[in-house]
Amino acid sequence: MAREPDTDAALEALFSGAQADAPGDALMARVLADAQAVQEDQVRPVAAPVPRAGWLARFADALGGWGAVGGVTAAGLMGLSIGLYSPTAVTDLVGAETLGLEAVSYDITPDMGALWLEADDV
Amino acid sequence: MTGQDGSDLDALDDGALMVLFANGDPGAARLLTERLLPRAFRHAARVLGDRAEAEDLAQEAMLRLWKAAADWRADGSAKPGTWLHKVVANLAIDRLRRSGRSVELGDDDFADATPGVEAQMQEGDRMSALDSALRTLPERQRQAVVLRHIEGLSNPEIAEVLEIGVEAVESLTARGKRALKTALEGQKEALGYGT
Repeated sequence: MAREPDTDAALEALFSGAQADAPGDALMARVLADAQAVQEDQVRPVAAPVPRAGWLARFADALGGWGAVGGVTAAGLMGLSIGLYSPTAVTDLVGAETLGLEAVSYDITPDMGALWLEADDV
Repeated sequence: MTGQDGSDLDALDDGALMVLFANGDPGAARLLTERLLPRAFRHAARVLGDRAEAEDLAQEAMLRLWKAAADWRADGSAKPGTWLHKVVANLAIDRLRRSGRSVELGDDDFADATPGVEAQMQEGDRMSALDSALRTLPERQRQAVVLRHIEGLSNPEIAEVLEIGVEAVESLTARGKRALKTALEGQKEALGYGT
C-alpha cells in the first residue's frame, strides 16, 4: 500500500484536469441560439397583443355571431313585409278579431281599503 | 427587466436568472449559459466518454432548461444547476443503454479495467485515460464520482440528482474512487505521475 499516495495524487490530478475541461465556442453559440429561439417563442404573444375588435363586431358577437345577426334581420324583414303588403292575411290569421287591452280588464290588485275598515265603521 | 447590465445580473442566483430569462432578458440567457453549460458538458463528457456526443447531450439538456423557464418557481425549491445535472444524468443513461455501452452491474460490484486503459494512457491523453477508467464503473458509481470529484456537488445534491439516499451516495463515491484507483494503479508513469 506504499504506492497508494501516488495513485491518489494521480487520480486527483486527473480530476483537476477534468474540472478545467470546457465546451467549445461553437457549442456555446448553438446553446445561445436555442435560448434566443425559445425566448422569442415564449415572449412573442405578450409583445404583440391581438387588436381589439370594432363595436360592430363586438355587437355581432354578443348576439351570437354574424349568422345570428342574419337570422334576426331576415325575421324582421319578413314581419315588416307581411305587415305592409298583406294586412288582410294577418287579420284572417287571428280570426278577424281585434285584440285590444280594453276588452279585457283584470284587476289584480285587491281592494286594500277593506283592510282599514272595522266593524263599527260606516 | 430587459436590458439590465451585466454587473446587476452577476449578483443574481441561477433561479432569479431563470425568471428573467422567461421574461425575455437576453443577458440572463448568456449568463446562465456561461454558468451551467460547462457543468452539463463536463458531466456528460465524463459519463459518456465521447466529446462530440457530450456536446449534443449538453445542448439538449440546456434546451430543456430554457423550455422549463416559463414555469420555473423562483422560491428556491429547485436549483437550476441541480435540475440540469439530473437531466444530464437521465439523458446519459438513456444513451448508454441504447448504445449497449452501459455497465449493467449492481452498485456493489466492481468492473474490471478495460484493456484499452493502458493504450489510452500511452497516447498521453489523460482525459481519455480517465474516461476509460470511468467506463469500467457501473452507471451510478460513475455518475456519483463525476458529480462529487469533478463537479464538486455535495452528497445531498448528488442524492437529489440520482434520486437515492445520502448514505447510498457516500457508498457509491467511496467504492467508485477505489475502483478508479485500481484501474489506474500501475499506470502512473504512463500518465506522468510516476516517481
